[in-house]
Amino acid sequence: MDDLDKLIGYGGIKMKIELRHFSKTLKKRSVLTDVSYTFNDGAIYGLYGINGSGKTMLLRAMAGLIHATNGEVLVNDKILHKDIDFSPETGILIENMSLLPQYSAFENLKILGKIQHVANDADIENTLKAVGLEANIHEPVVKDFSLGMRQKLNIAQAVFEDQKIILLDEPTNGLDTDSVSKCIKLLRKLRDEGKLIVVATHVAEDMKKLADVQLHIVEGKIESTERVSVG
Amino acid sequence: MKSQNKLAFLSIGLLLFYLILAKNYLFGKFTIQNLFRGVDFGANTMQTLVFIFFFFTIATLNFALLQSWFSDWLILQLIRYKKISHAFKNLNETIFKLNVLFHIMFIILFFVFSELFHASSSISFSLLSMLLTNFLICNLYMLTQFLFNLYFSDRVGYFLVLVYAGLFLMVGESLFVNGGSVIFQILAWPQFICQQRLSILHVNLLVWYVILLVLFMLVEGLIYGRLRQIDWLRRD
Ligand SMILES: Nc1ncnc2c1ncn2[C@@H]1O[C@H](COP(=O)(O)OP(=O)(O)OP(=O)(O)O)[C@@H](O)[C@H]1O
Ligand SMILES: [Mg+2]
Repeated sequence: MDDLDKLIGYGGIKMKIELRHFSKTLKKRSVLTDVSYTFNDGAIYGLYGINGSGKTMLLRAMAGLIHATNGEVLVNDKILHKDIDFSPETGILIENMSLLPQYSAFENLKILGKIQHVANDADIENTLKAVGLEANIHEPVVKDFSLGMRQKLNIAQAVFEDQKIILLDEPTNGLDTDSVSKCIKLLRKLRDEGKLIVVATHVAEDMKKLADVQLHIVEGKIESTERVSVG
Repeated sequence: MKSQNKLAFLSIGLLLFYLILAKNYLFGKFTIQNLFRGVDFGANTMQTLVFIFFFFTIATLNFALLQSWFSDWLILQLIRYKKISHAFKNLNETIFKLNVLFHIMFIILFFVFSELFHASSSISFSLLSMLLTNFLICNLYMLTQFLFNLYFSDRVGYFLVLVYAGLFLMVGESLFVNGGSVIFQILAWPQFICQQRLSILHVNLLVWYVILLVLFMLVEGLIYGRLRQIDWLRRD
């Protein structure tokens, strides 16, 4: 994929999320402490750290779902909660989320798609196929999905509208080895299309395979960053 | 989605609660006819309340619905709306639609039952003012519930709604049966759903439309403010 393609595909807009001295205190406990970092598009960022280190919280901060106790988040130079309410064109996978149980995978995405009208039926079907739900597009309903199937649908939900910023919390949870590879392949393809992707995981192996930049989170801080090159 | 089931269950419970109230305290006997007996000048507080119990049921079911919005699903929608104000507009549209639905139901049931029991002669409603009033109150009630949702967790919110409903039932009854000041009667708003009650009280309808409108705007303002500063964390 060359740069010209990127420019055409995006109308020249580059995506950037910048955290400036971001701190968050919940119930008198500091869950994120003075985090400063800039995420750029065209790369997969991996957040890793032990349970409770603040990976989920960091993703929430980037999506505009929590308010800073101190500091700020800028998305394309716009301050969250001041200039804009949420990051624009963002796909997010929240941990253990559940879509509407009484609808099929297709219907779920269709309902969500009605808000922005950017994805058509073919986009929905293609995304569902890309995540490995080709056999479950129209049935059964989500209530009868297995854990892994749900997770695949959740991933599909975060990417089917060609979102430019993709924030995924433990996307490989519940996925079998084949599906993990599929997921990694999909994310790499999206990265090559120039998207900004941030993935939180505590699985070291997935991290190694996936991340271009690894961010080690310890007790609400970015302890170290490492740029690695993967396929 | 589990909590949703619980809430739907509680809503049905609340409905049953009203039916039992009707049976024990109102007409002595539990018959459909009694339940839907028209509210005329001679109706007492409880009869008025039972007459409008659909309203409570719908409002309560609506609460369960709003509750389910506080799931990840709402977050996914918010992210897509991009702006809180768009989501806010959508919320109001949904409540508006529910209102219309409720009122259609209300009118249909009203006429069906008044026909069925030949009660129309003894009832003299001004439908328009009743509907206008209902509309304001319905919105206010639903929005208040939404506020509860924003400030408290599921259980506390639902408990507050139950207390709220119970309190107004009691206050309403005692005030109306024994008389009382107009301001208290306005606070115990279920009384004011029927225009008849108001004309008895000689309260200018316009005055309390305005009062309700101001309250309405106040609640909306609070919700909007709260939506803007809320942390969308998973709630218990
Ligand atoms: N609603 C909340 N109220 C108070 N503290 C919270 C709340 N949610 C999370 N925390 C705290 O914030 C810290 C970071 O949580 P976070 O969910 O970001 O961890 P995580 O790195 O995603 O962990 P995991 O690997 O288990 O998903 C934890 O110590 C947690 O106890
Ligand atoms: Mg987490």
